[in-house]
Amino acid sequence: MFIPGPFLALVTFPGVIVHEFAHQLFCRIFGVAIFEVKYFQMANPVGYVKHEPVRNPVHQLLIGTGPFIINTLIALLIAFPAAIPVFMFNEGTILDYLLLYLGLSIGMHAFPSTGDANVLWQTLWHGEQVPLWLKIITVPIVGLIYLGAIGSFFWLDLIYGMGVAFGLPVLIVQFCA
Amino acid sequence: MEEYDDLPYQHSTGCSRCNTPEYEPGYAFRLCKACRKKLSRYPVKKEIVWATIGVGVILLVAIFRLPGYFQAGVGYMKGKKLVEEHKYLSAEKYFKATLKKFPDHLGAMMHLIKASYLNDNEAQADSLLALAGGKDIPTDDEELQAMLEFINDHISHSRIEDTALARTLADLEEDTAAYLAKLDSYVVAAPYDLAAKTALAYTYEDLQLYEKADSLCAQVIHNAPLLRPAYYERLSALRDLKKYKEGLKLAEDLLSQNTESIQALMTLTSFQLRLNMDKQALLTIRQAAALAPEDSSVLFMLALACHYNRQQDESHRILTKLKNRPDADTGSIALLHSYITDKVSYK
Repeated sequence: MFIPGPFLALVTFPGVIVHEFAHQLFCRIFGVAIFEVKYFQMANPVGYVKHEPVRNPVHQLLIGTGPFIINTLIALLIAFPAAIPVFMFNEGTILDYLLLYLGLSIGMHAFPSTGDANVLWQTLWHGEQVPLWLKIITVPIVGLIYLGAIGSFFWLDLIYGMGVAFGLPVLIVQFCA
Repeated sequence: MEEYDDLPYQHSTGCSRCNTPEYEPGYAFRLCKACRKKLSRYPVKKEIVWATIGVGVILLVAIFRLPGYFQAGVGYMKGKKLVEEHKYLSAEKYFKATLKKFPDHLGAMMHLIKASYLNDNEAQADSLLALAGGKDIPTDDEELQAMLEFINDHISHSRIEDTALARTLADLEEDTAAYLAKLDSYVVAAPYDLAAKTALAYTYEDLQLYEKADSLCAQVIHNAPLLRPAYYERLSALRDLKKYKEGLKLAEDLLSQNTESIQALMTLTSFQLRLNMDKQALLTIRQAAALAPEDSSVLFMLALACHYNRQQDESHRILTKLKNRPDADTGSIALLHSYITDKVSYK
């Protein structure tokens, strides 16, 4: 079933906000000037952060991949206390389901966008004074982002979000047992 | 998405924002340190801050409840891991703890029924089954369905299918000949009824027809390899037939179904003692004693195994302990005394 990106993003808008917030957070951590942040809009792209070109290319790598780290962690944090009562004990309240929805939508938007991949590629692969090791690790990262983008046609982003919000908490409990 | 096309202030000679002549070197974009810092701290919208606070409050409530759920979840998973290791006595404790907190937890209930059966506590299994009877098992839950199948198989093999016959047999309990004739003819007519076959084997055993009891139980076990009452009945028959090696093998098979079965460990110990495997017998019964340190039957066998391993002090200490119990079974204490003073040989 094909659902246009903006409509899917509308349903899962908390994830878009956290995604953009993650870019913003890493800009702030590295002292990179931000000119505009759009947390959500019903257009393509559904959100963006406009910032200056970075001085340290490693910062670009982290700003670009920040949503993957931040969205995944926040999705897990939010969904964890709700996933155990719902999936292990069938005792979820409406608040648990709200947390699970938030966890799922945030987890779904963990993958950096192809726009993020383009910036990474331009800055790190084509950039001057970028160390070789950074160029080398940029290739698989950008490759994975594109694979993720292709995978989203097959609901890979949804599967990832479900894995983080629904599956991972149960796996953590299993690991602790 | 992040981008830096079409950025503002791009053509200034000093700081693009405040026009200060000093700007930070090394950046493609000219900004003084203060402006860069200020711009990097781009304000988060108030609506988003309020929404985050709201989510935070809900999260706090959920986190407040989390330890109870987490502990119960870990306990339930530990129980399931122990089931995989065939350690049903330890698993039973975890499932009971889960059910204490969540009495409607179907998984823990089903696991506990199975564990009770494999721990040879059929009374507990039956009472739990009565409680679970009205609950719907989700058809898409393969694990629960498999357990339900196991439990249903156990029920069908534990009770004589023909309820009218079962009632008649109950009335005939005092008349052994009539009881045997009725049950025998029923087993011929309904060879699929394993509960009836096991009941017949019990009768044969009572009548000292050990060979018949053994062969009938062997058939039952062949058809239902987890029907534990048939194992115990056959083990009794093998003991009475002095087929100790066969008994040892069968007791090991029984123990492999549940490595923490107290009854299976005791039965194995008795065959090991009879085969003069005294050291192994002591090891086996010590396993049982570690699991059920206050069980009188286990202490009985432990005293016996200690005696045959020349640990007379411990053997007598256990005898004294058993004697001092308020609910002491004088018959078995007298028997144990006879064994450990070599007045009667156990082997």
